Amino acid sequence: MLHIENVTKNYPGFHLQVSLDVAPGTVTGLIGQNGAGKSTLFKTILGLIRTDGGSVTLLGQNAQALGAESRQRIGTVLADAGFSGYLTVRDVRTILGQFYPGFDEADFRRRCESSGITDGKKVKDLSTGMKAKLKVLSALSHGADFLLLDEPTAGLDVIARDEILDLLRSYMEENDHRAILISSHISSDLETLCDDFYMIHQGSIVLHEDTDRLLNDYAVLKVSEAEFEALDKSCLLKKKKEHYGYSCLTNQRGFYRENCPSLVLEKSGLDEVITLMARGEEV
Amino acid sequence: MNIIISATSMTPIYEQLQTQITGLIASGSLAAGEALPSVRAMARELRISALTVKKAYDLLEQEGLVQTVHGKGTYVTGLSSEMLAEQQRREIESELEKVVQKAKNYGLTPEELKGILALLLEE
Amino acid sequence: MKGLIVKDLLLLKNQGKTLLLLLACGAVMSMSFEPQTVIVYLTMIGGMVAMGTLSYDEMDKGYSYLLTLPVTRKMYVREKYLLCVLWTACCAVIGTAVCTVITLASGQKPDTADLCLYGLGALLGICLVIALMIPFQLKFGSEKGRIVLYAFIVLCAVAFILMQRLSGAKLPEWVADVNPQAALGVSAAAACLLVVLSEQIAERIMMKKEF
Repeated sequence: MLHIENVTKNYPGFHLQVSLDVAPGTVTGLIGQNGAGKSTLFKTILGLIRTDGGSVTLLGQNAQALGAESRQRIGTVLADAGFSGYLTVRDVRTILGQFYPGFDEADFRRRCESSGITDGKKVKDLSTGMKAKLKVLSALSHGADFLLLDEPTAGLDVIARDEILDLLRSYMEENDHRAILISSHISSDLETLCDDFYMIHQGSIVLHEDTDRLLNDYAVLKVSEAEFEALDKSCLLKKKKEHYGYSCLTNQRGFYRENCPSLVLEKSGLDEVITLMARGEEV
Repeated sequence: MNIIISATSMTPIYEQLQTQITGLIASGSLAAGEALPSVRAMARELRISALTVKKAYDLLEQEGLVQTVHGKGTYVTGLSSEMLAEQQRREIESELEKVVQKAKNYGLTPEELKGILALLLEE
Repeated sequence: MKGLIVKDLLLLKNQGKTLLLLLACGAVMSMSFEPQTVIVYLTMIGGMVAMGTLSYDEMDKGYSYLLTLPVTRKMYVREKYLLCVLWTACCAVIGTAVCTVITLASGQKPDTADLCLYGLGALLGICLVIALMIPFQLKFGSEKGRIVLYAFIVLCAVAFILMQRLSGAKLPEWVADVNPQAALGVSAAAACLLVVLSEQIAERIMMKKEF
């Protein structure tokens, strides 16, 4: 669906260099701190900025030269941009119908209503939550094959986020060959939705893992200095100095569980992995 | 479907899912020929990755409990409950075998091991 | 491209109240000045308002989202020119019609040929403005564009008033010999050429832009 090979983009003080793949039938997450390069990467995929090297192939074509018809197969949510605030929801519906032959008007209308998004309201007068939902509903409204979502749940409360994630789950349920690339800095979103994810830090990919493996095999060891010295470090990825000694990230939970049963071993979620990958040191 | 996944348990999610589906088949809640929810539907219900569900389904298929028909879905095979019980007994046996071996390595006597087992069974 | 046109028309529709106010001003103006002023005024407003859609697109990073829809950058530029020129043309026609009505209402017989000339002249003039402004706005943004636009309009208004004053003064002799139809034809051709040229430049600017 999406194949990014060594794409580079240079800004003063920032260098992006990424390779990434999204296969059909997959939900891939992109996680990283603010400023790590998530939005920049999205912009190169969508052709909003030029690349300084490498290639981005989207739906089998060069992403920088994607034609209007191919764009009908994509649904997008951008973090800080959408339809003009001076249009009403009804206007948005009309416009979407003009742009996308596959637009399902009745369905869009129904979903907007059930989300409390009133027809006559101008987009700029909607609450943050409703604005975000409108963006997601717009992306979902025309049977796209691929969704590119840049922080679709930013600024939303837990309930609203949950609703949007569920919309995305049912989108994937409808068709086996669809795919989603979703970026967020809210880990719990990705843990319950994505099949695999890439972690981006200062413009590079520092980790690529299946969510399955993350939740099953990764763990954080909390050890004292003495315990650390005696520890078999072969399966550790990162270590971080703590007041009690060290916290260490491993992707071989089973190994430490069996051989060091006395050590404090905690299941790690995406948050712990990100913190240790970003702020930990090499072992 | 009454499947409950614990996010905090140390048991891998796919294993939890596999175990619970096996239990449903053994108890008869899932009849032979019945279809399991699609991978995505299950993933949605449980809020887990689709790959995890697929892993569980694949393992169940390897054990002969289900069969995936490409393009249609995953169906419970007609494995009789006796065969299932036999399979589960064999599983427990192999796990216990590992424990017995470990006990030997650590120098536990058979009595000590039996004592531990008695204690655990009382709980 | 249809989607873009619909979007712009809806944006313009939502500005209905502002437009009505401007129309009312125009009505007042036509009473204090000559009725032909209405034509120029309405055409000018039409052009400005149509070009205003560029500002709306630029607001809140609107360009970024628009370009992810099924459009190409070329399409975007072409639509803008199409919209501006056609909208301004409509306003010129409406202006001419309104002027005719006002003249009739005041009991005079309107010189339709003369009024149409005014209308066409206004249209060509505003097309010139469009040809200059769109590439400028695309390259430098709406803020700077707006300042330049207002300055230009003030300049035009001053020039127009000056011309009115001078129309009593003697014109150079060759002007009287010029065939009005030919002059119009040449102006129209020149305007078309400029608009096409401007569109090509705008396309190039748009292709290079990063969002």
